[in-house]
Amino acid sequence: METTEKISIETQLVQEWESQFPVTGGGFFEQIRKEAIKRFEVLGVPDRKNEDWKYTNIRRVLNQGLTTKVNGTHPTKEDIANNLVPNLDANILVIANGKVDWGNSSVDSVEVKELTEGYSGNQDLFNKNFSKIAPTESNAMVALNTAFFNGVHINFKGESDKPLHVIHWMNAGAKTLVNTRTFISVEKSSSGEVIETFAAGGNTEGSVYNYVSEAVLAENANLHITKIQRETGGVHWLDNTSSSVERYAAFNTNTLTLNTDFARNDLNVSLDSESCEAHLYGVYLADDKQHIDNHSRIDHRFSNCQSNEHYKGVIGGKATAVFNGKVHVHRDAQKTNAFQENNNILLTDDATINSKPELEIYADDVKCSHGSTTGQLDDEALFYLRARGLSKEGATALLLNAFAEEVLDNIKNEELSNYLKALIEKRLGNLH
Amino acid sequence: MLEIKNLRVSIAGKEILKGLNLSVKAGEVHAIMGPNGSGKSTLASVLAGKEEYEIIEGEITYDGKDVLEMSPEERAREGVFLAFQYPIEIPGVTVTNFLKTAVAEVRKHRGLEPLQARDFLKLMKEKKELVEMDVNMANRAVNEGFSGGEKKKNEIFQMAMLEPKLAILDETDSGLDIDALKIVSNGVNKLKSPNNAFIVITHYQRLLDYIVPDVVHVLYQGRIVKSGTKELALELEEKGYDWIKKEVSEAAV
Repeated sequence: METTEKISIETQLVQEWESQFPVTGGGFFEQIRKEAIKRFEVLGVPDRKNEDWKYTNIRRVLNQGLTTKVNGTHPTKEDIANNLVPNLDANILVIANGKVDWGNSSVDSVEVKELTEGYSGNQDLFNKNFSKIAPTESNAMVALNTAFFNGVHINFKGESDKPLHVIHWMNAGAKTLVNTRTFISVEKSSSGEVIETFAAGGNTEGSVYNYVSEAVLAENANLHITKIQRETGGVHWLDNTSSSVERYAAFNTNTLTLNTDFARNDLNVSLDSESCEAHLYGVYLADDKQHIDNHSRIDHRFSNCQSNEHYKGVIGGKATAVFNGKVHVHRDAQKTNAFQENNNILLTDDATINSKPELEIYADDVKCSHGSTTGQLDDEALFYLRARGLSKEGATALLLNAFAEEVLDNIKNEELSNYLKALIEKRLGNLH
Repeated sequence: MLEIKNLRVSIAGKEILKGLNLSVKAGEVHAIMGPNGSGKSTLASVLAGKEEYEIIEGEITYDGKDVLEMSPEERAREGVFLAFQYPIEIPGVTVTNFLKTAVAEVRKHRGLEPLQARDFLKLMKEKKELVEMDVNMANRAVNEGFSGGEKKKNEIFQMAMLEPKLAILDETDSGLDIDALKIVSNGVNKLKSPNNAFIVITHYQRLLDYIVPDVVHVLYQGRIVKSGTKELALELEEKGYDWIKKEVSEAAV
């Protein structure tokens, strides 16, 4: 007798994995994948009882018959051109539906290799870090990514002359799960700049982009990642980015979520030596029924490190945003400087922000602060500007732009900064 | 230029202006004095179009137009300017950027072409000198971290940039030392012309040593109870407001 019993999403994905990745030799990635799929099965897709997923119902997103079998198309030249930064000379790397689209890419001054190739030349680096910086053990979505990923190794050596612009393109068909991985290493006293644009086209209804990125910053290295999440149809974007930061190194991120129906961004920073720093900035602009969740965790493990985190949001319509930022100062992390701030402006009565700054301090000689504010646009400021001849709309736009753009102050790349300001201005112009 | 007739205004159910009449002609400077709580700042706010006030009765016409029907920005574009008693801080918006937008709006309304960047900067430089403003102030966020004096200078600077027909100075002298007071007054005097008018609201006579009024009004309990020449201001400085209060209460009996 045939049974029509509905199988769980976990069982279904494990079965898909078994058919795609029959373990043969037990090489580096095979072993990692095998352990990860087991871990995924044990953890299961979290529901809202899991504190980390309290406000974001990821189980509902996955529980709709997703498949990892991609049936999509590559971006056109125009799709790519629409997502480039004007006047910026950059290396372009296109990742289409989870796989590198070398035909549309042009990389000349950064080392970018498929992961298997990257591993063969950097075994020590991979053995020590790959899948160990990301929270594979505790996060089911990272474990799922690790079981299925396709991806690249990006290595920065020396002073980078131009940034690497990664375009994550999603057009993989409806209800498709894509698992993309990047592994970024910045060598000693080297610097790297990465721009990541997340964009989509075609039928994306109910699809999920489950992206995991790991970054290793060697001594005195500098890495600046700017993430841009734009108009993206029905894609659910998951981004879990983790970094390990060595002595004198600096890790910088700017995360802009501008017009995305669903985004969940996890950012984990481990300050793994003395005298290193992290600067995390973000802005999220949402309306309609959009859902934007930014989670971050910064671990201060050694002394004399510094972290700054500032996220700002403007939320309208019936949109929901979440900010959950944890700063964990470990016992040996004396002389820590850690500042965290989250500010929100709600444009409508139906807009929601769940803001949860968390500070856990186990060292006694530290300077730490955190704060969260939520309010409406300042009526007094609005009146002041109108009393000088600005229209209500013009004054509102000026105030909101100034509010949102503050988190771009750390971007030194002028072309990028101008581009991001223009994107923010455009989005604020139609936010309601 | 400005006619206020029997103006009655309340805020949060409390009547502040109780039948105020005022007539200002082009080329005139009117001083409005009066004790705390008499309604001076309410008058300034109502003229500029602040929305939380309720107009119970009365009318305000400016160049023949019904001011109460106009939004704050329409009033500004028509040439009404309020120098705020407490200028607002606008983080992230530089003075230059703010004024570029404001000047463009006002010029557009007057049917003038937008200023070229070079001409705008030239105008900025000229007007900055008028109020002896620190050159860097224009690159700072509007009023953010400004001292009391800098904020007031910035108001007069904006006034100079926008060239209003009717300027209302709401206690611009409060919090100013004597040097800043002279600079601010000097700025106002240089902007005076037969085509524009000023309403100077102040507690103290000393500002009127520098900005000489044509008419001095005493506002008390929501009405103008006495008007006179500049000598009235001196009399108030010397004798205080008690004799005015007494006159008003005797008249009421």
